[in-house]
Amino acid sequence: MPLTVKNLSFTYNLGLPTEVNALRNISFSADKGEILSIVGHTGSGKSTLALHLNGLFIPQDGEVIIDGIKIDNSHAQLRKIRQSVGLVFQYPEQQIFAETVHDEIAFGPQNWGLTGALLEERVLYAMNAIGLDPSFASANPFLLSGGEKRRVAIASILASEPTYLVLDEPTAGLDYNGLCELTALLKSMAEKGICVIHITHDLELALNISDRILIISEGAVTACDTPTFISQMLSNINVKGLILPEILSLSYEMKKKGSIEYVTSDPYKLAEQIKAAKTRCH
Amino acid sequence: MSLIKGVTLGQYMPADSFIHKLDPRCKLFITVLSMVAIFISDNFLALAMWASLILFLTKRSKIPVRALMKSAKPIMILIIFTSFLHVFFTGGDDIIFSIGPLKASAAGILMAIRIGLRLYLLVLFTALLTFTTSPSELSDGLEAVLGPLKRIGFPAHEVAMMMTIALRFIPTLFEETERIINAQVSRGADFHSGGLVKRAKAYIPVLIPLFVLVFKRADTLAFAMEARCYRGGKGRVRMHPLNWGTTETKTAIAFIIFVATVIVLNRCA
Repeated sequence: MPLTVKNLSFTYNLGLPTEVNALRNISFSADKGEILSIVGHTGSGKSTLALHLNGLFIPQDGEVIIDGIKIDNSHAQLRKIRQSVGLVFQYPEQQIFAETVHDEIAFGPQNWGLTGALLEERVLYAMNAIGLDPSFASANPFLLSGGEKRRVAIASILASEPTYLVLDEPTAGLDYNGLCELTALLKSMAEKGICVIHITHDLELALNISDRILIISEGAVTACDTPTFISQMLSNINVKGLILPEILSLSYEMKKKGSIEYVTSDPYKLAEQIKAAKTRCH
Repeated sequence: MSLIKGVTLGQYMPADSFIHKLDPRCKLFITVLSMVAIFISDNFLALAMWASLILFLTKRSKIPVRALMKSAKPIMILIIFTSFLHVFFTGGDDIIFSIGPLKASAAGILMAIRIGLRLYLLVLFTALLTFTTSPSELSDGLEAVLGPLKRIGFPAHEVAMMMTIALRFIPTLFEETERIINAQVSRGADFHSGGLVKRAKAYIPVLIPLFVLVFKRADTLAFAMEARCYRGGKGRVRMHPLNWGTTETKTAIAFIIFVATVIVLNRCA
């Protein structure tokens, strides 16, 4: 697998009274073109894991390997990794500093050495990818709305054309339209062959958009499998901070009682099955 | 990769120790007295006694020595810079070496070491205060100490509250700065290469978002305080009233005796 994490452990404030074991023996892998959601409760270690994937944290124990390159203290290797792994932080709009949207988006590619027509091409590509009109290029990013600022910040990561895109709680604070736009963007990125690692505590969203889900609890991996398997698993066992969406819980209950034939999170399909069951009863 | 990871300055570290339980007024008195006394200590025996006292207090307060050492990390550059200036700007005839017009004398080097040590010990001592005193206790203590000035119209409560908020936000601002640095580094920002001007310029993408964030935070905090009916110190009561008992008196007396001993030794040596 192009992105592999092996037995990764990390402790904050090692040796101090405030010492916290954030990650314990984490192992998983991700492939290009897939959406892998990392789901867990607040404080489960999701964001610490994200910082490792971009080489911002060097593993204290275990390994992170991206396209065959093992993350360590080598400056040149780290730059290569950061170029191929785009990391969108929680509330990425807080990183905005440039005077225009264009300059903000161009910041990343410029750091990687792009200039001239190639740089402009990248800025335009990123603006298109997140659905920002080119007329926004000269706008002051600080005067944009919250949702627009978020899109500019994400575009500034996409402009580096990463092969891996790690997003830490990208939907936090977004309204429904913003959420729909962002999920569509993640899907389109995966279709383009980018490996999307989506970190969230929103299980319902993860079940809807992911190819695979990694459940992390108290810094350790609880499960890593398909959304179907994960939802089935969560209907049987409790994981701290994760509650199965109501429609799925209902669906599982009805399946257990034999009222419906298959479990679904689609309300229309569930309604159809209930209707069919009612007809059978009559 | 982290530029300011592990900075502990201004943090409160809860523990079950007699120093943690001391009345904040007593700790403030000891800290202020130590600041003056450390600065009049100019021989190495006196400075060694201060270092031993700090080590003793750190052990008694159950704070790891490593955490205390880390607290001086952000101020190290300032300490080194001040010491460096003393090497060249202290007079003396016995020149050890010279760089162009700058001459370093033996007296200058000794003075630089003394000043460096004094500043370092001072930072460690004040760090002990914030490690062992919660922000609310510190605020109450400061207000009580500044209380008599209220008679001449000095806003003691407001000043205490401002100082507490400033202290409380040191670790938060370090965290925010680190987060912004991480965000820019992940976009390829390089803070390590190039000359001084290039490195200083590299921090612009950190400073602008940090200022924006600080003003937003200040706004939010002011609203949050107002929403909970904060109107300054007038009519405000305390959940835990301050209590100066015999432990505080004994500690203060012991400290005064220690300071007197150090001053005498400092004069005699």
